[in-house]
Amino acid sequence: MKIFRRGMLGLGLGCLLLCALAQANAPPVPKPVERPQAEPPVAAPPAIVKSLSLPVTIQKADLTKEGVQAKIILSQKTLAELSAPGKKASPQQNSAAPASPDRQSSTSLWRNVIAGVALSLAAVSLIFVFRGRRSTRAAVVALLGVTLIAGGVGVLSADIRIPGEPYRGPAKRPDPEPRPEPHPQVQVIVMDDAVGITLVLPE
Amino acid sequence: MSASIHVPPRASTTPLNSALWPALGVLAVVGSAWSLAALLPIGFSIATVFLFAGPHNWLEARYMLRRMPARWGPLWPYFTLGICGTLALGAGMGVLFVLARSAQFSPEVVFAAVSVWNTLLVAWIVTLALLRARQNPRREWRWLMPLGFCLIAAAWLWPLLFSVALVYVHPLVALWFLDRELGKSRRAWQAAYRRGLLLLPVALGGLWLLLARSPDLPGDAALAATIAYHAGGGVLRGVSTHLLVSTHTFLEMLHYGVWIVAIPLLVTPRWPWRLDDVPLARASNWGRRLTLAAICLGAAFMFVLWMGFLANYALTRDIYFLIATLHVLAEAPFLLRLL
Repeated sequence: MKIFRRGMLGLGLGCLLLCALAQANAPPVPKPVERPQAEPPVAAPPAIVKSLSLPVTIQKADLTKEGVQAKIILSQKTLAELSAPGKKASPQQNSAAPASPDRQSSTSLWRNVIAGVALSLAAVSLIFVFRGRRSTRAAVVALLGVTLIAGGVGVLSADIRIPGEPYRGPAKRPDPEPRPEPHPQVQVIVMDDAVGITLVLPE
Repeated sequence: MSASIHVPPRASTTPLNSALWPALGVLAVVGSAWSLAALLPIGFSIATVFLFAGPHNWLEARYMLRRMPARWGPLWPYFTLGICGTLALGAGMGVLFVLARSAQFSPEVVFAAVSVWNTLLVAWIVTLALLRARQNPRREWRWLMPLGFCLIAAAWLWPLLFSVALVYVHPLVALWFLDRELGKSRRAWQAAYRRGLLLLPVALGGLWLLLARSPDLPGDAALAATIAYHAGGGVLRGVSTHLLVSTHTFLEMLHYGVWIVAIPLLVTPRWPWRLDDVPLARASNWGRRLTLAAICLGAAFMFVLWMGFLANYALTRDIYFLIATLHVLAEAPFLLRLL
């Protein structure tokens, strides 16, 4: 019985650690959903910093070698007009901007580390629970249940691939990364001697 | 020759029959609450919170006054930690309320703050439980330590899900209070009550089967969106907000029923302003005045809440759910004292 008890304890500790490691490998939790406002939500119009209406010359050209869908050629002066200092971004706009991926992943890393430490402490505190006590059948069944659940979560979470998230697992990749679809691109060219704006479209 | 006639005992003296009418009443209320929560979740939620939120807080505070000893004696660390923890965590919830609405803090900061609050909550409850375990009769509650650490891990891994889980667990705590009180004052009813509790998973399962594929509640109205948010909409993605609001409203209605009807009528059948069962009021004149002032203040709060609901329901509901955190927290030390 003593050997069985120690074995169960060891197995439980191992599974809890496995669970902690697997959870540390899990992707970050999604961003919180915006809290509904007290006032009825009104569809906000897109913020227009500056609007200019300029004559455009449309040309046709072979763009296959350049790998773009279209080109816009404009002069330095026109660009300066477009990028003239507009409204300064408010703190609200700054905070609404999504956090950089590095910052987000470091935050989620800290969360996972704290969770891992808590799970490790849970495993260690089991020693205080069982110290100097004869194991009852209920305790053994409870430990077995927790062990199975922790092990199950660990096995299911390990190496899991979340759709839409970069794979963070170990070296073995379950399936190849899908090749990104080519996105339509527009090339903007600023020239000193350009007159007005020229839009170049594929033939 | 005389024939002996066996006279059966009066039906009203058996515990089962004495509990028959209350049981039928409970079934009628639960059935009505279930139907209204399933069919008219938003309207039912608005009506129940308007009618019962204030009174249930008042009667719950009255119950706590009855359970609070006049002199703490060796229990002073327990009650000091209970009261200080309630106030500190309640203030912390206020800070979270401001943080979540402030544009100066990123979602990551808010997430971390929520996790810290949840961690402190778990640590507070486990510490209270371990203090309680040392009181007479002594209890073997050391297993709460690993459980508490596991809950803290969950609070950091899934902070919002953890908070939503608390929202759904809180109404069930009232059913636990009622069970313990029945065990103290009406033990004959306790077994029937526990059997009746088996209907709860059946009712919830039926609700989920019925509404699992129902479309989301219309989100164009701010009030409906707020009610869905309180029920976990936006956190439990992929789950119909109709299902969430119905489940939350049904459980809240059971919670209100326990605090407004079941405990006052079955366990402590006396008017709230009768202070003969409040230890603090019996201890001294000052205690009596203090208790009476607390009860009057609670009644005034109830009326102010009603006026607020009439003036601006959505805003008052938001503020109420913030203040109501205090009563949620205060339940922990009193429930642990009953175990």
